[in-house]
Parts: sequence; structure tokens; C-alpha cells
Amino acid sequence: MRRWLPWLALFVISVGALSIAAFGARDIPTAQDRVTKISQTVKCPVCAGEAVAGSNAPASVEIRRQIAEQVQQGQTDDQIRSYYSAKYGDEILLTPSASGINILVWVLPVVALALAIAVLVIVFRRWSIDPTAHATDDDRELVKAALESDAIENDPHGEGDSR
Amino acid sequence: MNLALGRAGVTLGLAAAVLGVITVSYGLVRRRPELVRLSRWYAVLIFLGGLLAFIAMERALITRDFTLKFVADNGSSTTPAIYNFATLWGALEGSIILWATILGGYCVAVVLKFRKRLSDPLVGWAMITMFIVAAFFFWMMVGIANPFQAFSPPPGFDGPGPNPLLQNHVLMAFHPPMLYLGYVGFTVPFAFAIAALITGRVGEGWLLATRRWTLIAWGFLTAGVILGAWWSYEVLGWGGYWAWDPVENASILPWLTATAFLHSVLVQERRGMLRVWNISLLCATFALTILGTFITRSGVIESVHAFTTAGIGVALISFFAVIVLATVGLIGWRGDRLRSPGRIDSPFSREGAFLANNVLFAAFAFVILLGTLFPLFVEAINGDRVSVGVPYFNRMTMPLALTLLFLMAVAPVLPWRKASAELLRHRLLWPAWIGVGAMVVSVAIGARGFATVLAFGLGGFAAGSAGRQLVIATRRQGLRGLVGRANGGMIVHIGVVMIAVAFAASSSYVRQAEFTLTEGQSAQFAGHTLIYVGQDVKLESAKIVHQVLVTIDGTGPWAPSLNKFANGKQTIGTPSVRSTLTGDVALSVIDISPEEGGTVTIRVTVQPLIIWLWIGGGVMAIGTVLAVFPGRRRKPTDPVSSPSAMESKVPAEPKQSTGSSL
Amino acid sequence: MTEAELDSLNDRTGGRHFARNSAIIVGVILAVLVGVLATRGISKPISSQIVGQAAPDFTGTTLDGTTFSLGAHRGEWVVVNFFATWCTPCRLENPQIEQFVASHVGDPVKVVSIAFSDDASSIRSYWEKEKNSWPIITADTGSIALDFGVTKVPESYIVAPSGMVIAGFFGGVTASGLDQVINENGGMSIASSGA
Repeated sequence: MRRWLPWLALFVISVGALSIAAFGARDIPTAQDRVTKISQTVKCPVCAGEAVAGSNAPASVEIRRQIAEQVQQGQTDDQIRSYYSAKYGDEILLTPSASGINILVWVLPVVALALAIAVLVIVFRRWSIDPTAHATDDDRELVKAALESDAIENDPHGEGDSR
Repeated sequence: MNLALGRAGVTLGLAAAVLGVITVSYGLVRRRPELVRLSRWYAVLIFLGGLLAFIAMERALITRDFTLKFVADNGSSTTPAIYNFATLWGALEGSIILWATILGGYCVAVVLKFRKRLSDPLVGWAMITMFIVAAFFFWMMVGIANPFQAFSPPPGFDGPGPNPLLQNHVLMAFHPPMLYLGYVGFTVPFAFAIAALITGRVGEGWLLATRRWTLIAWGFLTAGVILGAWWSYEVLGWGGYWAWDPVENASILPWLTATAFLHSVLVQERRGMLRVWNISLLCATFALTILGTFITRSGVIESVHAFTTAGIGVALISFFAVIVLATVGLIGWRGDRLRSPGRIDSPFSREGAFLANNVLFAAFAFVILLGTLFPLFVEAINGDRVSVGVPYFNRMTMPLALTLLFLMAVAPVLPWRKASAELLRHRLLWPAWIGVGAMVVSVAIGARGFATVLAFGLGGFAAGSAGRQLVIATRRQGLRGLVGRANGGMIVHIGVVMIAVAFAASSSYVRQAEFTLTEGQSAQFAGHTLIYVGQDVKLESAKIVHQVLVTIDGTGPWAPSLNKFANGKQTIGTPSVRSTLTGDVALSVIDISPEEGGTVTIRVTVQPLIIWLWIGGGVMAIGTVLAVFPGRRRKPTDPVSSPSAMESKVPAEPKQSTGSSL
Repeated sequence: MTEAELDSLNDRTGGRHFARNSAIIVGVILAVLVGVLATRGISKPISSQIVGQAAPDFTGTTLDGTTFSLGAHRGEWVVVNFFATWCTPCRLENPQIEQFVASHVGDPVKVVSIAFSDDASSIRSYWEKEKNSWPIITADTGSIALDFGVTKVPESYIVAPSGMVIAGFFGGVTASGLDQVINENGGMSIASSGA
């Protein structure tokens, strides 16, 4: 039990630190921070795939100005985003909505990962049915031969057994 | 003259590649080794062809030879010399010249390295594969992407020069060549993998022959990606170094599968397992470089990096289809030989960790590929247009990245075959303290956000684990403990941790604001004081530079500017960045009002820990160089893992090297 | 491996044809991927969708200090032209617009230009040099261009008397081209000189 003590301490401290990180008091985002955050999710309509936050095209500068105005007026993040998607179509939002066919882009990765983990679990279970390897006499001969000589014939490039 | 030289070079390269394929395959099928050995001359001729084209085009660019259409479209008499040199790869046709020349260089390097076994069918088929790839790229230069087209310039003609964004920074000369050295470098192990599948020699031979090549190509690709991020950050000016842009994603996809491959081969070398994984990962890496080329050059996905010409998309996607068909077909055919009778004994072992590693990297690549191509799929299905951008990628890749950090911490201390709780508890204690310490310190100085602080903790954990390995190795071998694949790998891990921590901090805690200031006015933002002190105008050969002078916290003055280019293009801004070890303050000019003594509008971006991205990149480069050197020599019969539960009459060997370096 | 061992391995892990079957599945998925990619055309940025929709109303201050409001000209043909002095094709189309304006003096036709990412002093010197007679809005934060979805200049739009945008010109206009569109869509008869 003693040996687990330091680990217990580590666990408690991490939980504490992470709780403060998650729920602790933080600086209230200023209006400017809100503008930055929203403009990171709106696409610049005249650039090739950049966000409004990261583009100096006149359209982006203008959209940032408009967002700042709307933040000043007290609109919420979602209201501002829907204003733009209503005007220019869903394409202007950099995060695809979670409706219709767009659900696929959110769900597929999770499904793929879950599938992969499931396959791994099944494979490991099958493998662990017989975990101990039994050495046969052939195996012992093989080990003896390998320990005695370093070179194997018919294998000039040291590739070993192909199979 | 340049035209003739260039065309001759391209034709030479194509002819040599095609003849090489025919000759060597004939020699292999008919068992005529002397024909197979001719591959060395074909390789030299391919390289010469590419080199000729390269020299011809560079000469034309540097001397501003406007009788070539490529120079007329991309060169200019006002562009400084180094940018004219780098313009070769700033436009599509020229970039293919670079690709083909580098490929020729790799062909020559391979025939040099394997000169003693050129008639070995493994090497023969590998050369054929490389010649086929070379033939494709030279064919593109003869046809659809011909850089050597004639043009009759009217008197007094001057070209428009490269895109202003490509003339702003010297990294333009380094980032693309590094990237190409990486992309093209993966052709070599891919060729050997194909050769192994064709000849049926799918054991460890081809792997051992090419593992250093893969590492070197990976190193170049890593350097290329990081230089690209640095360049983007320096030029664009609002703190953007990674935008999950489709072309950026295209460069990271092969990097991910190659990284998984580099780790997974350790399992194949040690225990002959995961062969299907390894060959699939490697072929996927090469296929992804071609897919990436397609995304960059076809224009089907909009990107700031994309450049295209008619017909090239079709050619590239067809080549991709051929590669995929050949690879899947060969693996399906040889599948039975690839299976190994060995099993992974326990998921809590190094093999298990590497298998999990493969799965995570594959998932990572899948998420990025899905996000990048999703708009195309949606449009194909119902015609809607959607965008998938930074918020999606950050959110979906973050859990995978955090898990990978955790794995990076635990895997180096895991022994082969089976780990015990006691072993892990003992080895991971100090790294765990470092991780928790990192979290406590960051929370104490004010960091918030669950995922970000967790990233700091896991980063500390992983760095501690890597450090522990290095300490053990240097204690045992002195400075030689820093050299070799495992030790170099630990240094690379430390670099990765630096980058991960910097990425987490700079994306979570970025702050931006715009200020309109009159001369002498100051602004306070995010703990910094900015004072606008004046303006300056500089005249350069290609542009007029209007600088806005601003001091940051008393240092400076820093000079972000607006550049008006001589050939009437739009004004481009150049940012100015103050970097310190704790963070960066980036300034860019939005507007300068034209009246005397008027206001200026500047944009400020404050991001912590940015410089650690570049330091981490440097550490990764150093680690890769160290990893390429041979490490401690060991005999194949040295025992390497703790004995498993085995009934055996062979006396147990004294315990050696429990779970440390290779 | 002996035959027996191979059989036993295959039995445990999916059968003799496991490799072939998985290769087929993977191959099919990748074939779909290639098919989709091969059939895509060059992507277009969010370009102007404004043609066929009601013109967004705008108001702006022109070079000489007066205000121009699109809504005030409802009932007339209005050509909205986006311009910048650093844009060569814009300067090339300038004489064409002059010709168009000259040919429609007295008609219910108005032309207004809007400065796109350009400074007022360059516009002023250019306008005075060319002696252009139609108004150009210089004091605008860029919202008009944004509303019209202008991606680069020159771009021009024809607003019908009904207030709808009926045509867009990307890359430069000609006087005859403008006339043709107006005449095909009702000409002067459906318009009336408004304010």
C-alpha cells in the first residue's frame, strides 16, 4: 500500500489542478475577445478558405467591424453567427452544423475509432486464450543453431527468414 | 537557348525513365542480370535530364529571359535575385521541375547505395518503380504542365513577378525544397515495399535496407512543415501558423502515416509482427503524397496555396488511382505471406503500445482527411456547400493528440512482451511528478481551460519520460548515449512535446485587438503598452514600403508595414513580431490615413509560447540527425526483453538492457 | 510456416481469404474516393450570389461630399461599379463607362462607382485626371462590397428599376454590353426618372 501513496498524492493534486483549470475564476472575456472568438468561426467570403479573424482582405476587415458592432449591441455569439449564415449560406460558417448530412463529419471519426478499439479488444481476447508459448524441440534446435553461428547461408543480405 | 536546353532535359529524363523500365523489367523477367545492372545508368540519365531542365529554367529566371512563357508569367526585372531563383517553385510547372530533379537525385543515391546488389531482383523492381514515378512526372512536363513554352515578348515587356506574398520572406527559398525532399524521399521506401511484394520477400530485408531512407525523408518533411508554419506566421501577421488549410493538411497526412510507420517498424524488426500494418502505412504515405499533390494542384478545394492548370487534376488523380490499385492488389495477393505466426502477448507491452500508436495515428489521419474532403463529398451528394475549418479540426484532433502525448510518456518505459504494474510504477514515478508539477505551475500562473492544462500535464509527463531514457543512456555510455535511433528518438519526442505545449498555449490564449492611434498615442492591451511613434517610407526595387513605427513595452521601434508593389498590384502588409521566450506580440498595419499627421490603424496579436514551436522544431531536427547515426551495435542474438512465461530448459540469460534503448 | 500452421492461423484470424477480402473492401472504398475526387470541378469561392436577388440598399458619401443612396434611385437603371486605381482592368474599362454615361444623358440611367480597398486621395487624382462625371463613393468601410459579394475588381452589377440585380460583369464592362443587357430587359420604357 505504501508504494501506491505517491501515486495517490499525484492523482489528488492533478484532480485539484484540473478542477481549478476547468472551473476556476478566469478573466472575463472582453468585447474584443468575443469578436476574436466569433471571427475565428466565420469564413472570409473572398479569400480561399481563411477565417475572418486571420485575413486582412477588405471584406474580412468589414465583417470584423460588423461583428464588433453587433457584440456592442448585445447579441449573443449564436445570433451573430446565424446572421451571417442567413445572409451568405451555411458555407460561411467554418464549423459544419450538426444536421442533415453534416452529421457524418462529426460522427464518422467517433465511429471509426470505436470500431478500431472494438477490433483491438476482440483480437487481444483471441490472442490471450493461450498466452504461454510452448517450446518444441524444433524451436530448441533453431535457437541452438542461431547461438552457434552468426551467418546463415543463402541469405547474403542478412534478411533472415522471409516468412 | 534556355528553351532548347530545358526541353532537351525533360525529353532526356522521360526517355531514360521509360527505357529504364523496359530494360530492367526485361532483364528481371528473362533473368539477364547484366541488363538489370544497367539501372544505374538510367538513374544517372534521369537525374541529368532533371538537372538540365532545372539549370535551364533557373538561368532563364535569373537572366529574366522573357522568351520563356514561364518566366514571362512569373518573373520580373524588379524582383530581387533570390526571389527569382525561388520563383521556380512558386508556380506549378516549375515546381514539377523541382520534383523531377529531386526524384532523379534520389534514384542516383539509391543506385550508389545499393551498387553492390543492383542485380538483386528486390533492388531491380524497386528501381523500376522509381523509374515509373519519374516517368510520370517527366511526362507531365512534356505535356500538360510544360514549363518550356515559347513566348515572344513585345518590346519593353516586363513580367508581373511572383505573387507578392511569395516575395516577402526568405523562407520562400527553403520551405518548398525541404518539403519536396521529404515527399519525394518517400518514393524510395515505397519502391522497395512494392519490390518486396512483387518478389515475395516480404520479411525484414527490404525494411532494414530502407529504414534510414524513411527516417531521412521524414526528417525533411518535418523540417518542411515547420518552416512552412514559421513562414506563414512571419508573413501573414495575425499569429497564424497553422490554419488547417487543405494544402497544409495534405502535407501533414503523409507525415502522420510515416510517423506511425517509423514506430511500428520497431515491432517488425524485433518480433516480425505488424507486417501488414507496416507495408500499408508506407504505401499509404506515398499515396497520400500524391493525393496531396492532387489537392494542391487541381484546384478542387480552395486554398491559399493552390495553383493549377488545365488537365493536371485528372492526371494526378489517375496516377493516385493507379498507385492505390497496385498497392491494394499486391497486398491482397501477398496477404498470406505477410501474416506472422507471432502474437502480441499483452496489450500492456511495447508491442501493444505501438499497435495503439498505429491506430491513433491512423485515426488522426482519417479525421484530417475526412474534414478536408468532406465539402467535396457533400457537394457531390446534394449540391450543398459547407465549410470545414479550424474549429472542427481543433476539436476533433485534440482528444487524439492528448492520448498520443500520454502514449509518448508510457511507451518508452514499457518492456517488450509484458509489463508488470510494479515496473511501470517504478519507472513512471518521476515523469509523473514532472507532469503534475507542470499542471500546478501553469494553473498557479493563471492558465485556465481543462484541455489546455491537461495538455501541459501530459506534455510534462512525456518530456519526463523521454528525459529519463536519455539520462539512463548517457549514464551508461556518456555522449554516445545521445546517438542512435532510440536516443535520437527521445530527443525528437522532447521536441514534439515543446511543439504540443506551444500549440496548446498559443491557440487557447491568443488575444487580438485593433487600435486607431494618433502620433504619440499609446494603447494598453493584454499587459503590453504600445506607443505609435511615427512613420517611415522606404523605396525598394520592387515596392514602396510604408512603415508604421510602434514601440512595445519600451522596446523597438517595431516597423510593421504596407508594401505597394511597382506593378500595380494590391498593397500587401508585412507584420513585425516581437518574440520572447514567454510569448509574441505581432503587429500588422490595417490602415494608414493619408493626411499629414493622421491616424494609423494597427492590429495587435498576443500569443504565448510561440517561439517554442520553432525551438521544438529545431530540437526535432537535431534528434532526427542523431537518430540517423548508428547507435550501439548489438548482435541479433542478444536477449532484448524480460523472459516471458515460457517452459524452457534453456538457462535464463542474465538480465540485460531491461526496456531501455534499442 | 507449415501448411497446418497456416491453416490454424487462418482459422483463428478470419479465414484463408481474409487478405483478399479485406483488400477488396479497401479497394472499393478507395475507388469511391477516387471517383468523387475525379469528378469535381475547380472550386469557386463564395462568389456573388447577388444576381437574381434584390439589390442590397446602400448609402455612401461621394468624392464631392454628397450622399448617394441606391434606394433613392428605385425606378431607374443603376450600374453599380466596383473600382480601384491599382487595378489595371478597372482603368481599362473606364473609357467604356464614360462612353456609356455620355450616351445616356437625360435617360433614367445612373452609374455609381464604389472604391474597393483604395484610398480617397488616389481616387480623387484619378477622377480629376480622367474627368469622370459620375459619382464614386469613397468613404465606405467595405460593407457595400461585402453585401454585393465582390471578390475582386473590376466587378459591375446592373440594378433594374424594380430593384433587382439582373446581371453581373466580372473583369470589365463595355458600353455596348451594358446597353445590351438593359435593352434585353425592358430598356428605358420600364424606367422613369426618379429623384
